[in-house]
Amino acid sequence: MAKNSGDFLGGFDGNNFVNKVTEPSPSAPKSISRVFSTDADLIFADDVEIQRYSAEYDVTWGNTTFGISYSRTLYDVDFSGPGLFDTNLTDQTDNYSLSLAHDWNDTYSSSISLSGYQGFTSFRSLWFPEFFRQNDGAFPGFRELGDPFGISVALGNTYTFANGIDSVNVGLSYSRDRIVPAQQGDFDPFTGFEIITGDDTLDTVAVSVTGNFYLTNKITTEWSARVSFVSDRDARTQLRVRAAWSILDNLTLRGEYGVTIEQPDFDAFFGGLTLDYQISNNFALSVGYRLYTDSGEVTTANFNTSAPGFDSSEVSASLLWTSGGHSVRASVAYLDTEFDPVSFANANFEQLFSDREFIAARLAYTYAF
Amino acid sequence: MKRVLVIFVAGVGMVLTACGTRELGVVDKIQLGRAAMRFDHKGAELAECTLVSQFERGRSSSVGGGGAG
Repeated sequence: MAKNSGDFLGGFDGNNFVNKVTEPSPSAPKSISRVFSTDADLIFADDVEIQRYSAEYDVTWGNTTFGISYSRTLYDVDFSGPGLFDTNLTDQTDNYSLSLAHDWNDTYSSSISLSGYQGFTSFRSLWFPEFFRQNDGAFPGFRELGDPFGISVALGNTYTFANGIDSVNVGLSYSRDRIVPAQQGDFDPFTGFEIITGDDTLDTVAVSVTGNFYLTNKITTEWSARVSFVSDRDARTQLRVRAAWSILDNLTLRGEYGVTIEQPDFDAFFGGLTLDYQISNNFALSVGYRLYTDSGEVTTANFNTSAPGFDSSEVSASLLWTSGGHSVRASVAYLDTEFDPVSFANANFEQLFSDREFIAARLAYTYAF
Repeated sequence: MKRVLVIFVAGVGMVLTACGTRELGVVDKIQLGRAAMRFDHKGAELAECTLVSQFERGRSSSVGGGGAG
């Protein structure tokens, strides 16, 4: 947090990479530093297009950092399926966030953040309401429901060891999501046709522990464990290890491996490698490769919309330009996604759970001043 | 699941034992503090295309649903 906020003031002096963060004298007035970031993301396949535009502004005054961010995500999805009317679905989602972090001393720091959103969190969650509208909209009692929304609050405390590099962070968060529930028609011989509505509210409590430790003066690691408790579901546990190896002063290899498990049937594995090469004082190139696989999604609100097993691979490259406090990064990626065949239970969603090849792109700008 | 958790905790324990509170020189701190050696990237520091996380639900730290399903 505040300790690393001055890293954008660093650079390459021709021989070494220099972190220009300096410790102010006790009698010096509190310094103010600011970081403004904005980025545009795009990912698209034949029938899906998602755009996201975001901006973030952080101000550090002495030992306190205040942050505010906003993003808008735009969805454009072609909807079709067996027995369904083809249509085009469009929607937008807004995300807001406020954060506050404070360094109590060289050892302890704390943070709190408040976030909210309105709209669908993925193109798949946009797809399902249209399915139920077409399939069961004629049943008496079917209602057109508003967009989903949610809020969350997160607390964090960090302990930094005496060497100033190793640290442990403990986090606690709570979120409430108001989702669009499934509405499925049913016939009861005594009451006639009726709509059965699923749960529309999810409460999530999550606890996380993250440790940053260096192994040598060339290798740092991050170990994180996170346990989430979601309404009506078993606990979800995520473990992840990341490492960075400074092979040369201008060449760094980063690796990641993680696993997510939720009883009774969901497990996911992911891992990847990224190579960063500092070409010159102003340019750096990154290339990466990542794999992901899971056994199929677990859902709460619906009983027949679970996604089958999923595999993806991603190849990416990005170019970073820095000068003074300005940084611009352009990234591009190719994402290949494959689902296991749908079963009889979720055959209606064959088009949704079909294999796709995506192209992703991102343009980001950061100014530290 | 228990096996994975035990391996994970053992790994952290080994790292803690190996690292302890060893002192670092100024040059080492600068080296380890470089952006490429950190894991909290954002803005232009972040090399990833972030929308990919929409499709990797098990990798995302968010489990809240935004809609049916």
